[in-house]
Amino acid sequence: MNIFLASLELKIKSTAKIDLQLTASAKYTFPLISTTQTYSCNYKTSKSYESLSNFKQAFKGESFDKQTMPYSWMVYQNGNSDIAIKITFFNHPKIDSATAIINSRQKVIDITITPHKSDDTVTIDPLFHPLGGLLMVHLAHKSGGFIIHASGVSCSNKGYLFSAVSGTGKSTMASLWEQSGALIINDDRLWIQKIAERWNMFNTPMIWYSQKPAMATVDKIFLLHQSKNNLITQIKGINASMQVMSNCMQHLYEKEMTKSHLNKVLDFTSQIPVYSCAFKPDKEIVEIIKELNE
Amino acid sequence: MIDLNHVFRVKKSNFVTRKVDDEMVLVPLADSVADMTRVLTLNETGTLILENLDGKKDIRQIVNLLLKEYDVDREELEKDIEQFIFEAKEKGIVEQIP
Repeated sequence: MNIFLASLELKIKSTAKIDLQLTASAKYTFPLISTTQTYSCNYKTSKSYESLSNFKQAFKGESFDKQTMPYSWMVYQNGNSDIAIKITFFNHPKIDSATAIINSRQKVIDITITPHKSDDTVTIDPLFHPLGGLLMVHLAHKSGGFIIHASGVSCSNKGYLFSAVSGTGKSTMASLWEQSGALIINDDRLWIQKIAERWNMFNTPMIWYSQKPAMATVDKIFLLHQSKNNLITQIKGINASMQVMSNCMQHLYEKEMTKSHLNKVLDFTSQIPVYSCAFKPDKEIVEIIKELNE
Repeated sequence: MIDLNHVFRVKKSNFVTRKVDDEMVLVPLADSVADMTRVLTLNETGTLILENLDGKKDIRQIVNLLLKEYDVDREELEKDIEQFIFEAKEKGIVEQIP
């Protein structure tokens, strides 16, 4: 099976002990645009943890979100620019850990899943949480893009991106646009990629729902704030760029990586106007934003 | 207290910097990992000061340079630059050349 994310193609293969079932990623089996990079993704199970003795820990995180199973994750690197992502689940019913070793030069990703009971067959979506998200942050970076916490809509050939921290109205804003007939690209997370000199947004497989793949150019960026009144102000300069950057998913553990990410975000925010957008949740804000084009 | 004869330079290995127009952004690195919670931005004046902390010019020379650019009182500018360098030192952005 093949999965397409932005301009990437993932060729998915697995051994007998893994039953890969497309759930969240079920509709991502055809490309929206021409493919620029193809990765071979090989899934297997193993009784023991994958040895990462040649690797050095670079970055880590954890999640105790009540809605998902708690886990911790670490990114490792070795001297040959290979990356390993290791996820440890604290109380997953079937899996103890998962390790993905990414060989960026050969474009091969080897994924090893360690199940609770060693002879269990594991039935799983290849982009299961949180492996899918962690891989996407890495793959987007490697292909010249980045991932941002934002909702995005497309209306009358204009793409609007609404970025904010959790709980500040990204999905509320997206649903207001949907009620006005716009296409929702996604209501929470976007893969941003430059194509033919223009920045585009793509949706990606989400944890909670299955969505059709969609993309649009980004024509305006809004930084959301909840308010009793609607107020849109264009913001400029480096502070505008840095406010956008603070909402990106940033796993930056090498100086070159940080440079490249900074350059991408500065290019993104220099090409596209950035607005501070205080809004109350009703349709008026949609009309106000549409009028910005006039 | 910072002496006007002191010379400072930017600790480039601790940061990724980018200039955009007259402004500058500094992303701190800790053991190569970017600390996105401590990203710093500098306005035009801050950028001009930082660019001149080149490990060669002393503070007095930088004050003289800035006096040509801005119509300000020398004493006030000296105080402002001292404060800027004090904060930049605290944040690990600059170091004094012995």
